[in-house]
Amino acid sequence: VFSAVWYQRSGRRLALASRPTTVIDASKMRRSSHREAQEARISRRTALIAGAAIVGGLPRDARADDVPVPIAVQCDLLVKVAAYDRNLPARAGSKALVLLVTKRNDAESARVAAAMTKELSAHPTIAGLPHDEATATFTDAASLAQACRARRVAVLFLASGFGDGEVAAVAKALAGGDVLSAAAVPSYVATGVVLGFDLVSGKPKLLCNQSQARRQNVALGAEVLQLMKVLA
Amino acid sequence: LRLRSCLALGLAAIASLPGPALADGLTDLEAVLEEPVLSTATRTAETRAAAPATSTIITAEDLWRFGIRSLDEAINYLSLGMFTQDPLHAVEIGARGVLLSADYGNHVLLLVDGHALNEQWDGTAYFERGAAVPFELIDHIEVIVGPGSVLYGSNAMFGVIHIFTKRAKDYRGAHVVLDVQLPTAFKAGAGAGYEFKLFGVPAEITAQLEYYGQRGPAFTFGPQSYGIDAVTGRPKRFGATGPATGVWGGAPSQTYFSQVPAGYVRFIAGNFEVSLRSAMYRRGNPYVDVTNTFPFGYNDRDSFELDRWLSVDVKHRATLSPIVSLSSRAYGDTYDYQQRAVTYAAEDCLPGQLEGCQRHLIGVSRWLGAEERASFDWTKDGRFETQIGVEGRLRFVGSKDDITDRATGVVAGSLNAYQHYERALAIYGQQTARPLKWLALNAGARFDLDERFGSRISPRAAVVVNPWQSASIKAIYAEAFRAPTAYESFFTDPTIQLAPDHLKPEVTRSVEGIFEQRLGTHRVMAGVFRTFFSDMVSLTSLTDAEIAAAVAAGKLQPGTPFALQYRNVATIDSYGFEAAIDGSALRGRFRYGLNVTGAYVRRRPAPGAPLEQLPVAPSLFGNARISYELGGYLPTLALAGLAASARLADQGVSGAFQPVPYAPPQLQGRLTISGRAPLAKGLSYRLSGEISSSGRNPYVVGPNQAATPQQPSAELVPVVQYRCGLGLLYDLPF
Repeated sequence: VFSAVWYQRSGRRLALASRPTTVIDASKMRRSSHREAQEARISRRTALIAGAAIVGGLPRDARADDVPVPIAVQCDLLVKVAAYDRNLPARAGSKALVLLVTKRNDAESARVAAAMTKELSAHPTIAGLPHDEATATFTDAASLAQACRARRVAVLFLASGFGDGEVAAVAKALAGGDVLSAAAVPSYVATGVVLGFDLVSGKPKLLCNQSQARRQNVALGAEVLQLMKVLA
Repeated sequence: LRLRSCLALGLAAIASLPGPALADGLTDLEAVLEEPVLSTATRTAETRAAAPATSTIITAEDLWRFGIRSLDEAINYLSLGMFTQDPLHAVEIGARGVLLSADYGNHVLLLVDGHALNEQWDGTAYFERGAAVPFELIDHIEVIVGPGSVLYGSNAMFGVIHIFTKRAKDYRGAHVVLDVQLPTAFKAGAGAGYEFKLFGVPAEITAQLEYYGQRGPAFTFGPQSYGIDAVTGRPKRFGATGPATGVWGGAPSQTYFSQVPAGYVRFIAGNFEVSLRSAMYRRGNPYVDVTNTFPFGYNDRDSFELDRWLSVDVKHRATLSPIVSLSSRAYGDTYDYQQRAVTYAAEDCLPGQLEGCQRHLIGVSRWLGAEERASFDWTKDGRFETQIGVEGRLRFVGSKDDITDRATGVVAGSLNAYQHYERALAIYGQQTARPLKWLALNAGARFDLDERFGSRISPRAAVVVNPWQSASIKAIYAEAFRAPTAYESFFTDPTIQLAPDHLKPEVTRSVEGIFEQRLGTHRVMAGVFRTFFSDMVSLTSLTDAEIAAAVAAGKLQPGTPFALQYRNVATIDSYGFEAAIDGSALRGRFRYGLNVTGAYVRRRPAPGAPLEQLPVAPSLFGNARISYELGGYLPTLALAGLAASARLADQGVSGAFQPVPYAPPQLQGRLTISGRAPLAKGLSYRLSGEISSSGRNPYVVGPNQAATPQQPSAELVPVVQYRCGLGLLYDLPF
């Protein structure tokens, strides 16, 4: 009466244990082994192709989890850290411009940038300066660096969806310039963004790429660096 | 006056804390970094202050720093509102002054990375080592107190405990752990975290395997004079050897043990995530206890309980537009429970089994489910967000109870054998709105339709107001339910127990108000609550007329003098307060915290019955902690303590003992020293010592679960009063 599965499982074990030993023709065994190996290869190949199809079909943007810190908290942290960039007032002039960069055709990236824009608008000043926000879609790193120079961008914020190569190219293009770069995705910091936000053990953490900060003329004081995880 | 003095003292203590002035800009930044982010309350990441819940976040650092080795220790030493009690087998969990003994944890929903661990046969979830989640893999634990069915369905009556495991970036490399609690327990484990690219897509895998083993200590019980075996007319036999004396007691050395192998793997590639958990929990109980176990033979290693789990969970997330995102989930679980109990007494067995018997209870559940959740962020900034979800589940539950004659080895038959296939469907929705900078609203409901019990709607409504900077006032109304378990719904025994006619879900309704104020990196919180539980399932004695009707219907054996039935009869009313204060100074090197919960709880066991005190649960419970990091290779010193008021024993109401048995007030403290080993790179250590003032917990042990002329007073379960432990963790990066 009880769970058929339970008894079936016991029965199956019993059948395996009592299976008679049979002498098999060696050639058949080899053929059999060959066929099994071939089938195994085919099934492995099928599995690989299927896996590749599934994973390859994935959108290349970052996971939603890869923006782990709520945008409101990121904004709060960004505004507070920017106040410790000693070179920001000179860089910004009378008004700090925040340029938010999104990945083309990436809904998550657009959502992150839109949310950050709205959150920034709730802060009257950045480093004591009034500020404006502008959003741009990423085309290439050189154009982005040119735009930063031309428009005297004080803070560059990368939303999500960028590949490692793109972030590295942006970092290279910004080197020698004068801008505080920040990103919603913490893994971008290791690739060359100055400031990032991570969530570890349920609490926000600040990440800083110090060598990139020097290349971009960002001067954060030692006291604020003590609160950050400095990656490079 | 005393309360006012305490408040004044607390405020003075905060004001006198070392560190920068509160107006310091860096402290503002630290304050943001100290504010936890949680996602269990609304299934959206948000700060604790914004979440419509009373919550505690326990970090991996806290677990290591305070020498925490299991979930129950984390709850007791670090959380607000919840507490556990240890009867020397699986611990029991309660919240806000309410604990329902022998519920196998089924009034609290336990999640790991969003996957419910409560199984489908009896709703079982364990909160000690039996939780069987590799501990070093835990990133943080969110403890939400209060009804949580609005998004999670059944079992979330007292609250939701959500364990989040580490991402590979936070567990990079290989890790080996060895933990010893002298002289009775040890744990060994190994794990790893690795990030890589899979066909150009970022991927990662984290995994941990561990084994926990415990044996002893040997407590001395009794002697308790039980007397005559009702069947043989001779003194009852409690052991395999020696004469039958009718006396129970001694120092069992074989029966108090646990073995918990557990493994957890999480693989993430792009927007896909797969997690796999497998675990086993085998344990023995050192004493006879009619509540949780069959009457085991004395000091018998063949009597044990065993749980086994295997689960898989597959998730996918997709952002379809800046407004719409989708979360999909499919899961499958298999679980079985076995209880083997040897008894040497004829009166515990079937007719004719004069040498005793072995009872073998098996419960099985297997379930498959799928969930689809859509989020609509209408204003693209989380200020006006709608969540709609649907979840479907197919499950199998089965059970049987074999009784084997100890003399002949013949299985006399299976009692109470059943198997059922059931379907369940749920639809839920939640609307959050922040129409003003200082105002947030949250309203939602979940409709559960289940073949076992019918339907249930679980609403929640919350208002969060920020009257001034860093302050929040929350008002929350919420309902939750616990579905009747298969064990309650289908158990029947023609000699003593009728199957229920139709069990409804247990329901809780709660209203609470919370005030929270941040002062830099310090936080003060105070709240009040009122919780009402109705339709609580209780084993109820049948009247003579009901027994006669059941006998006539063939449901009970003729001549049955006494019979029971599960019914929705009890109600519980609870109200009280919660308060917490925590914070850090000296750039996080100094940390402290204090949580207190007080509750007045009364239960009405049946309509018209007088109100009675709820046993086991303390009416006042709290914990406190303090730690200081010396820095570098110098250790971190941490002291944690807990306090509980006197607790009425589980048989304190029904046992008619004199005096009424209470476990004394409990004070417990643990000192932990942890740090990095100076000469071995990657090696960390922690040493801890614990002392408890109370020698007894509120559970009556022994065969005399009610007063007898020979034993009018109760014997309560002993407590391990002194413990020390050493833990080593070796991190090997690769």
